Amino acid sequence: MAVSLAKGQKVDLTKTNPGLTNIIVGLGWDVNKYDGGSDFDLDTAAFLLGESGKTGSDKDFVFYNNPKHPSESVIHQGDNRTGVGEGDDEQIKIDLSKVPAEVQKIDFTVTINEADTRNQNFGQVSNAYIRILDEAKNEELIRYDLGEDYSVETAVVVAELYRNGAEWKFNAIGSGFQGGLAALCANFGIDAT
Amino acid sequence: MQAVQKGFRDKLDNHLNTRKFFPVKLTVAGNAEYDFCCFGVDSVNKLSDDRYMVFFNQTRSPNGEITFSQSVGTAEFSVNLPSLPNSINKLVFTVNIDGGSTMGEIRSLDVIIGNTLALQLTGKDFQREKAVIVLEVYKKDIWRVSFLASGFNGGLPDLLRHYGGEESESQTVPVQPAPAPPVPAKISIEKKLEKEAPKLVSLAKPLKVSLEKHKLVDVVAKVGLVMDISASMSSSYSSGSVQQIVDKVVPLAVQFDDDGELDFWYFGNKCKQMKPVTTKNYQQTTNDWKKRMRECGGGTNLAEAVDAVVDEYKHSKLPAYVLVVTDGATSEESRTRKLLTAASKQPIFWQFVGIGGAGYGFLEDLDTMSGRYVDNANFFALDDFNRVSPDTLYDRLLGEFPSWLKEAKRLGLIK
Repeated sequence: MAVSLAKGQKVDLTKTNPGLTNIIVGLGWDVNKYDGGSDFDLDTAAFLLGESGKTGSDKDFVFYNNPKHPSESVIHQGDNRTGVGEGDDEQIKIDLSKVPAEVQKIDFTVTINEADTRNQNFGQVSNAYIRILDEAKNEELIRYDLGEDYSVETAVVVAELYRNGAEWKFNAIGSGFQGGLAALCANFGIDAT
Repeated sequence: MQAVQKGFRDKLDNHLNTRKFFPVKLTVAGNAEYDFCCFGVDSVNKLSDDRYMVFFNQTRSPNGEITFSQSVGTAEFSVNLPSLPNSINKLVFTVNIDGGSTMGEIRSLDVIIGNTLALQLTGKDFQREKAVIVLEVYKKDIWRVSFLASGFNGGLPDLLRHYGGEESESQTVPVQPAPAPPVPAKISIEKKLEKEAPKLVSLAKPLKVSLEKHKLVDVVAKVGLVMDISASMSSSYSSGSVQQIVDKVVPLAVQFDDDGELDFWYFGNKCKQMKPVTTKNYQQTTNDWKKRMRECGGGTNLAEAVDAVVDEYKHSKLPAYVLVVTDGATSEESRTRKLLTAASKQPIFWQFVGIGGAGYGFLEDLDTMSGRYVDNANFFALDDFNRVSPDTLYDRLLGEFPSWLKEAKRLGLIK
């Protein structure tokens, strides 16, 4: 039975699931219900962050253009959905055992591509969620429905995994940014230009 | 007043008192004619109760929870959330354009809720939309507001489809085995249609086959068509689908009727008889549907329709075949039942057809109810009248008519 979280809530991931190393982070949303206007193009990304809350290099920004972290700990599935956890719009595979020691947390984000020119924001996105699946058992462990907590933002830090001693925990962040992916990258120490 | 941008969402209580009436005002400046509507939808986003579609034609929800007033380019709704039934989960406020213009061509759209939150958009915020969901007031634990400002290029029909819940997952129509080759008919419906309504000539053959099969070739009868013009039928009218129904019924009149005329009624809250449809004028039948909808009112009062039709045919020397097409949710059921029972002594056969909807329980009852002099009614439902092949359609429309004719003759209702 998956744990459902509210915004700001933190829960144990590996402590309550001993031996867990391979997880899938699934993100989903509802858009394009309306055929008028431009199509929505939402992108997910993972930022591998050090103690300072910044990335070590551009390689720590895992997204459609850089789908695999050099450590192979974080792999963006792009559009190649595996069929596991059907219904997710995008998935990111994580092998916790391979995450480099200097990485303290991994943040997951959703951004709207070309939000400004297309005049779009999260106010038109509904039913957004993030969930953590046990890859081996294909079982949902944690789920966070973003609910109504976002509106005119164009980028959202949905959640993060972070180290707590030897264990990993999950934090349902749900905080929005205006300024899209560029604003997020700047926040995490990546020059996106 | 706080100016907000497109996409703004918040708890409504942060901005107004949700326990009291508050106004929602929509104003469009532009060169087209703009229509405004509030849909009260259920938890699965469907308009399960037609009476919660509040617009020019139905300006008040059942308990006055939502009222509507309009002047050119402006609509003002007054909303009282606490008195809404629990089943209503969301109020959707929309603007739509009837005609060639689009929302991309408007000068401005102003949305004000509770005199506290205001959104202003211009044509640049849109593209080719003809229907826009401007604002949603919805219940997720508590009442919330969302300035969605997203829409559909197809206009009102798209909106109605979105909230109507009539999309059917499987549109498969059972294929009927081909009937036996027809024996040449005495009256050539083909020739008549070829001469008078060449566009309908492709319907002649399937009709002829069905006539042969049901031994109806020599029957002379009055033919009447009674069309539901309630609010929920709007999309069927504006998409032309009702006109296509008329097109398919005209050949029946050409075949059966002594003067080839199709008697025609609309029914909403009221029932109105129109001038007869003929092969000369049939293509314009539904052109004025908007005006007729206003005249008839947005409900679905079947009793009024039955009453009007009985009045027309009760003294008829010929049998009358009456086709009633409705999307269901008819009102005044007990009166309808009484009228139809009384009409079982009249020379009238009723064929009810439910289209594009659900909840036809009552219409099914009419088909099977007891206490009638003769079984004078049949009912069947079609997802879409115009998707069924003409062969199947005529077969079903005429399926029970012969047995009624026989029985009515035996009982002396007709000669």
